[in-house]
Amino acid sequence: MISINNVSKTYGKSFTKAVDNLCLQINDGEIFGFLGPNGAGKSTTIKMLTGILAPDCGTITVDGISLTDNPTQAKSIIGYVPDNHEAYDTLKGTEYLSFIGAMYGVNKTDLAERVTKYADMFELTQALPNYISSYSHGMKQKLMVIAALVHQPKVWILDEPLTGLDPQSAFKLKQLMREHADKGNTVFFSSHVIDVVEKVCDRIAIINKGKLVAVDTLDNIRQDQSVSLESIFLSITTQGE
Amino acid sequence: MTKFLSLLKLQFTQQFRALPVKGKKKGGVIAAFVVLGLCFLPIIVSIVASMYFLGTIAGNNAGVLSFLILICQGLVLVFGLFTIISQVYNCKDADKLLYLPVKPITIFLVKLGVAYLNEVLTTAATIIVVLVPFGIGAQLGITFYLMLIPALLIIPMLPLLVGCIVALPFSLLINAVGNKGPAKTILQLLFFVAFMFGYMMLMQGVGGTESDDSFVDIENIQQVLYPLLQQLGQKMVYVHPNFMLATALCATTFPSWATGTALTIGENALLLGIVVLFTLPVYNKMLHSTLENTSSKSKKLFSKDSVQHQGTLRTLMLTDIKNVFRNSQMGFQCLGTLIVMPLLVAILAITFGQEVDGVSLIDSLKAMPEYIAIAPVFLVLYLTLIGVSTNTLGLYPISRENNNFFILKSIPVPFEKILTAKVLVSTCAMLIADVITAVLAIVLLGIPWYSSVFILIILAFAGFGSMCITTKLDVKQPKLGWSNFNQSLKNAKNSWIAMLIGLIATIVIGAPMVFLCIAYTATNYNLFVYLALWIVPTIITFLYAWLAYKWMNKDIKKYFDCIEV
Repeated sequence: MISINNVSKTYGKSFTKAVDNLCLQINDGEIFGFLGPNGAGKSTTIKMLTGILAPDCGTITVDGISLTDNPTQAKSIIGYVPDNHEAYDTLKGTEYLSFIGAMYGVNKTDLAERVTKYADMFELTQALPNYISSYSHGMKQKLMVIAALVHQPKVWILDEPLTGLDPQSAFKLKQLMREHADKGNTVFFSSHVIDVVEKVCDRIAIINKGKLVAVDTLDNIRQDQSVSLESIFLSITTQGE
Repeated sequence: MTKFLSLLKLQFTQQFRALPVKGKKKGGVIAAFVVLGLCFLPIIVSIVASMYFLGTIAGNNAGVLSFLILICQGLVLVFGLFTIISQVYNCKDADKLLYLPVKPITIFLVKLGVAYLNEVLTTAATIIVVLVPFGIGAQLGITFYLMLIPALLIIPMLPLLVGCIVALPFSLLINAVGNKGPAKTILQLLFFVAFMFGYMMLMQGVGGTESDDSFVDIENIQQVLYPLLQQLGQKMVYVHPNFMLATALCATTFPSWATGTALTIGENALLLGIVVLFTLPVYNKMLHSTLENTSSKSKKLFSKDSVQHQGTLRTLMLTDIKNVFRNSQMGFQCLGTLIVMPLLVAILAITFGQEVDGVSLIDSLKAMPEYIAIAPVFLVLYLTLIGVSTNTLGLYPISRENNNFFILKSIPVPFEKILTAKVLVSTCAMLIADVITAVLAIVLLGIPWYSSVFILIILAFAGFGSMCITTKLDVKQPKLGWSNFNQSLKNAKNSWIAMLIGLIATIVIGAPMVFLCIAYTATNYNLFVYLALWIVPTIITFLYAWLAYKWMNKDIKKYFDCIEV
């Protein structure tokens, strides 16, 4: 379970809060969709959830472990896919996954088995011995997904994970997300593609200008079943403009 | 022309714009610059005085002035060659430029223009230190100083064009290597060593190696030097653009000034045209092939055995090493600066090893009993002084992570461990350079091997300590988000601070060593004093390393958390 309590974040000396007093509870066994327009604070929230950024105030706990007090322990149960596909370009795919395995304390046998399994699943086996610099956008994304899964984390935090993936891989990842959640784990998932969020997520939150504007199940948000999530999203995020 | 100027402005901004640093105090940086300036002041003053003295001897002599211009150009070439390679030939932004509706010659001239502007800055420094004092000594008129302004723009032309030609075959070779980072790095290093060695040999050849006993008599220097300068000046007519510039600078009549100025501009323009004609077709090919080289497919097949690791600390170190040395730009910066130390020792040995009347200076020194104490102490202090500032690997441990820094923040490994891995990597790299230097010192300078062992122990501790300090400094103020590692280095102040750290470490280690050296001579070469000469600095550097390590880890989490990715 992820618990975000009164979390705020301001960058540098800016007067605007990137995230403003955010409170969220993401339960075990659910896929939680996180929506918002560009610059709404989605990535900042995710970076705080993964320990990349420290919040100015408030607390974040992952499976009961505080990210502020026990960052190392909390990070060890998180699998994170960033939105920018950045990895060490000078490393080979295998080397990067070995590095990630070592960092998360995965033993060599398990690591080899899991890498083989996921690489086959995402059709990246052939490319793994090559340098990451030679990978296409989608291949880098697949590598980041595999890297996030090899240590079998309880909590998945995925920032735009489907961007750049081919339809087959996107379908497999969505299946994996469902299976993971059904086993009682947590998937925190951010996307711009509202159709995907609509189909995959159990609950969604919409953030705008750093503030949480809606959080509920899709059915509760969409009281009128004929209205699409897209229309609701547009109406909520443009209110007051 | 509009396109050319717009592109030039863009490239120039990219090259020189310093990224703003959020709310940081500049007092420390200014203090570091002042202290370093004071340290270098004696050297600069001695050069200025020598040039003034040379001016008083040579007088209004275009040949001698032409020689001094050549020396300035030599310095500009040394400092600017790698800018030419990285700016002109190593076109990192080809993908951003090739789709623009501009001709390749425009891109080439823009790149050349940026390299030229870099060289103008170096030229300005050499003019102030070399040409201005010469003019004062030679009592040249106001026209000389006024003419220095256009000279500032003309002098860098020749080194720029020579640099373009020298770097061309090398860049072609690098381009042929393609995406193989380590091979590129090694080639660059070989080129660097060959160039520096060739340059030193050329300078020795031009300067002459003849020695005359009459030099010892100061009163005779003027009489001996004057014909020598005259002889040298006569040779300079062969570097005609320079000779014409010198003629214009020394001109006392309008026709002489006008002829000199017109000819130097014309000849430089002609040379530029020839160089452009010669290099442009090759450049065009290289520009396009940089984009074709981005994918090097390994023929290896995936096997389960290839996915394995060797513990957290070792994996962190290995990943860091791979990340640096497979990136040719970073690899060259890190290795290139490390080989400066052994290279300088080799040049020192060659210079001191030249025989005069059958005896070399180094042999004369070795015959003295103090040599076994003084030479190793000198080596320790020299390596401590320049070792820190030349170790790019240790100066930018966090900055070099750039956009990948988020990985270090998201992995479940204590940051202290990540930093320890980084300090160990940079210390090991520095130790390798130290070992090569020590071996060269044993072989070429005749330093006893047992003192070399102590030298390495002292340097290992001193290096570790200094690397802890530089690492913490980078954690406190990293330069992330760069698109070109060289630009990142230009914007960062770490190397200046590192020079200061090296200086302080040298003083701390040097003071007791010099004292013990004197004591060793005073006690008639007492063995215990000699032992103390090595044990005392070993203890001091061990304490330094321990304290620096403690300081590095103090409040480190706070600074780590402050780094916003």
